[in-house]
Amino acid sequence: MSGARLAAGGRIDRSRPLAFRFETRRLTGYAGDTLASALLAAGVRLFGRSFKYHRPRSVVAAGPEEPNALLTLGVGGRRTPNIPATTTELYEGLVCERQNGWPSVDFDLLTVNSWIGALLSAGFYYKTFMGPRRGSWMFYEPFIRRAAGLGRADHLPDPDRYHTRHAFTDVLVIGAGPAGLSAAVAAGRAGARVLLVEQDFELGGSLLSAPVAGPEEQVRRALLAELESLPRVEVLRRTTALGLYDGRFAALLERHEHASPDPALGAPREVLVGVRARAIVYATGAIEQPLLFGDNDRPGVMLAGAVRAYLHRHALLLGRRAVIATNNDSAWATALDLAAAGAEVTLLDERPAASAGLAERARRGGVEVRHSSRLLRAIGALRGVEWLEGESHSRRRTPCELLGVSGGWSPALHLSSHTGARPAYDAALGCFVPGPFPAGVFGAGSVMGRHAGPWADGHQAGESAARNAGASGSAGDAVRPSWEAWPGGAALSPRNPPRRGGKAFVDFQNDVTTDDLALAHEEGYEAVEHAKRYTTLGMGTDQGKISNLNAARLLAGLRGIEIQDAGTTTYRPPYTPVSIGALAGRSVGRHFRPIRRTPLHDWHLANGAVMTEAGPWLRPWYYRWAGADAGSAYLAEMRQVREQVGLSDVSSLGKIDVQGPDAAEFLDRVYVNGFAKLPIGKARYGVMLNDDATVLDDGTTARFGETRYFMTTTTAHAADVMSWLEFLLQTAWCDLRVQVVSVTDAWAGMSVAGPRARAALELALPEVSLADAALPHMAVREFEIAGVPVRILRLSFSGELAYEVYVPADRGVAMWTRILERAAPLGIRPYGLEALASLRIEKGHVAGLELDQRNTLDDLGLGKLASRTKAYVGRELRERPELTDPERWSLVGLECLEPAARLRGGAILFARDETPAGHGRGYITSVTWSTVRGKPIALGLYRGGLRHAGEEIVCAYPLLGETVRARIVSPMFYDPAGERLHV
Amino acid sequence: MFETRSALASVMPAAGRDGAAGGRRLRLGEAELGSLTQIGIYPGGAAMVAAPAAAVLGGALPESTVAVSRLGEHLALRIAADQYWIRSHSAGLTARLRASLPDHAASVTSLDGARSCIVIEGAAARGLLGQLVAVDVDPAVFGVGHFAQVPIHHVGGLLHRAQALRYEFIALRTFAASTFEVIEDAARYYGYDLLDEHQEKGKS
Repeated sequence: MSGARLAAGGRIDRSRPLAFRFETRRLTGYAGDTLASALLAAGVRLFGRSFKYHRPRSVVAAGPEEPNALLTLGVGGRRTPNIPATTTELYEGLVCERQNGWPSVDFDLLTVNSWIGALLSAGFYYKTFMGPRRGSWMFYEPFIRRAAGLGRADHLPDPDRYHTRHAFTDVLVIGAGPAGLSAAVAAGRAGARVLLVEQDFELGGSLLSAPVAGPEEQVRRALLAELESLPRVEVLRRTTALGLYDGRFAALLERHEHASPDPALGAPREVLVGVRARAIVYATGAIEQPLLFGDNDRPGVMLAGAVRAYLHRHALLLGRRAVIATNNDSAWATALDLAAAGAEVTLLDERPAASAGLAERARRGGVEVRHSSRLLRAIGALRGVEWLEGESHSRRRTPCELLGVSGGWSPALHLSSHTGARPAYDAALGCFVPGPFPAGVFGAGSVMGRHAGPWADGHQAGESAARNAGASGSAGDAVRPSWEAWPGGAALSPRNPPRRGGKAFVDFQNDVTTDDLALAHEEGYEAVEHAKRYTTLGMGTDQGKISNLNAARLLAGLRGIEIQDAGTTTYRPPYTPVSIGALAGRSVGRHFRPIRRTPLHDWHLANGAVMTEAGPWLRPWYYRWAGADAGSAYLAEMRQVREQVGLSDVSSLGKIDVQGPDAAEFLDRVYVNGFAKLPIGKARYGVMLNDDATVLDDGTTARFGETRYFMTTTTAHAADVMSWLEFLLQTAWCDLRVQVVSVTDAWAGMSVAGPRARAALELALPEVSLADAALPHMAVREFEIAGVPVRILRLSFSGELAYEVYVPADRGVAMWTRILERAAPLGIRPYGLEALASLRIEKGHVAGLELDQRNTLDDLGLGKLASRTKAYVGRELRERPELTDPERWSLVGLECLEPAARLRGGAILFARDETPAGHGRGYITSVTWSTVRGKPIALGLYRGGLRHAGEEIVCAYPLLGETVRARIVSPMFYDPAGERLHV
Repeated sequence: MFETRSALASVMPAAGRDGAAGGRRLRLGEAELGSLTQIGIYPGGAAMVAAPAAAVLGGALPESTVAVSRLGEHLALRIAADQYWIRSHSAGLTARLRASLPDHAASVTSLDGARSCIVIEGAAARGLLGQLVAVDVDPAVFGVGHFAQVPIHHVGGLLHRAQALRYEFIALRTFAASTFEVIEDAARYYGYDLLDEHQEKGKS
């Protein structure tokens, strides 16, 4: 290529120059330029090196189908590789560089790959790097990975913001070419709410490649003006439709980088939009296809339509001596327009004749036309072409610096295929067209293979879509130009390319040639899906937009079948690459996932708590008063509880209000033990099973009234239990007069635990009698203090005398501080989750690590809890042989026998004389240092359970290569008789 | 005696901020929710509940599951086929309902303090909500007085269009701070002033 910016014309705004940086050079373009057009105007011709062979590559197209001109944009955390220059809107301050050359694209030592190209054919890595011995691939892989890929991303944090948006509309029109604009206007006139999306920064589609002064431009402007006037039409430019999903849901990507958005001001770089539409109009146009011939990848070889687009849109004459090669009428427009701009043009048409009138126009325009002529190869970069003329196949050469090629047009039907509609081949058109549309979906224009009359076609589609969406207004008449310039005429079906040396590339981006496809076929990868994956054809960022059709033809030819029988690969979202940032949206950093805070959260932070994640909750792990790190602090906190009194935040426990005349019956059914006769003012520990008899959860339920119960669950399973209860009431026991309400958020809960717990609470709450006789173990009370409801449950998780105090959540801090302040003379201190968990391990209580929904009641040593008389969920399946096998694992305690060693959660358990390898006989579920035993202890599950009490076993931790001896003991390490609970 | 504390106390910004284009097109804050009571009707209990409920509330429980019923100083919402929320600033409403509704026909549960009310108000309210909820907030679709149970950032809540440009999101208390942080983050683009309608319930 040569050529330069024309002095006038185009759609660029010469009054708005834009400075940008291209590697070490500072260049200038204009508003309305793409990065590709600005670089071409600046004389850049080498845009990168190809993927495998490192051949020099330049711009081929003018849109998202571009396979070669992929640049890296931005610096630092904004550095983004593999961005097509053809779809990048030029903006002030843009920074870019080329890719895939070492040490540089201009001087690339890796062009040596071209010399050894025979070794790098399709699937070479399945053969070349398989030896000399097994496992050799792992040696070669790092080198191949390093050499693979095009651009390189950075590892710096992305400073930009990405938003997500939900949109709703009556009619979604995808594409703002002539058909799309017409559809949007028609639907808007009819009164529908319309969303028109266009991936370009200008509206017009194919119209932007036409002369600015032409009749179609007038219609374009009229339609744009009308769109602006319609009150319920929203237009999104710079927005790509990425995917279509069931229910007429579309994913769109809005781009804002042209505006240099400032994240500090909340401005996003990209917005992912989810649109729900009542009707959709596809007006996505068609993509020109290249011809296949030798060295068809040389810089200077472009799609003919792109040549015309750069001429009329960006005022670029890319060559003074041009050859246009085609098998259809559309490229004649390029030839004519180049000649009108002053180029010397030769047109090679594979067909014996073109549509009527074109020959005369070419003659008047000074275009040399040769029919029945096929390209053989490109010469140099680019100095000319060699071609075959006529039936005699006389070999000719023509010098040129620009070669525009057109192998016909393929509808951009990808979106229509996303919901499963397979494209159908139209032999007359020589291309695939969209498959059948579901209800509420319409197509218009060249995406349907209808190149003529897009205005009327779009208008009709828009009107139909509006009616489908329930709009009843008049759509009026279609707006159309006085004459339509599209030449029309079908393409000659492409044949296998003649060659005389050189590679004929089918997929430019992944360096896949016609020889590669032949090799794939020879090696048995005949199906188009297999050929794709074996050769990597269509697997680049361009997703085969200008290679899939040619590949389908070649494969059909190799197999001797019709192309419709060869079919296409499956088109899946996204239509163009989408950044991970856009997919993540706002769910990054502190917003990665929702955080759940107890009502006491702020107090904990202000008073030395170190927090930890417990599911979505943040809970105090330990407090700094007890130690500088978790390892020391939790021991001090344990001693605080065992010897004095501690206060812990248990607000995260699940809390469910159960009410109704049948509430007792309901609880009896969901718990394995009886609740129907639970007295008012009492609580009971209960376990509930899944219907497959594995343990779902445990907790306590208190009865506060004849028909009122207060259920607590574990923190981890609160939502599961609530869902389960609702499921049972809505599907299994619809007749039960019961209501369940989650009140986890309604109550703040705190546990006062330790030998001084009663004394501490008597100081804090003198309003209520806490004497043992008034409030014995497992008793509950509710009362008010100054109109504020308070509930006290005398329960223990730690094994010490303990009370759980509940107040409304917004009073939680007030109650917490009251207890701490009034009980301060007793030395009360807060304690965290680590100590809480360790205390319960000493006591032998099962918790989340044991309640993992694989274990039965008997596994957990709770079998005796189950009623033998009443029905409950899971009762029958408890009796399955595999669940009653005495050799199942069950809960045991473990004492460490090695003073300097530690036990680890997850350690695999083996008998003493067994080789510690394989699955073992069980595993450790929970571990802690025991302040009362003065050694590491654990709970675990061991085959045969406590039948092996007293035996020495081995705890193996293969990840660290550790084995530790331990003894099986009762899991109740502390106060097995429960004497400390009944003081 | 037992002071109340808002779940948003630590995440409420000290001041508003301008948006990306300058200016402030939103007002954010927390509103006083009042009391929140859930009524659950047992199978076959609707007929037994209708009259006593109407007597306490000054109007019938709503039939619509998308529109709030204003019953004097109370707002009634039908949140499920057999469940209702009553939001009120009338003291003692929960107790009156509990005393009036036959306990063999319906349950009455106080949700006081279990929710936080986040307010989004202003010209850009719908634009902001478009980023947060998968609900069509077009005025022709989501009218004044409408509500929808929708999640914001994966956590369920209830969105109520209280006035033409005022929306209230009733969020789970334990998630409220996290939810507000997401809302505030999204609001930065538009710029916002702070509302402060939340008042302490008073010292008991």
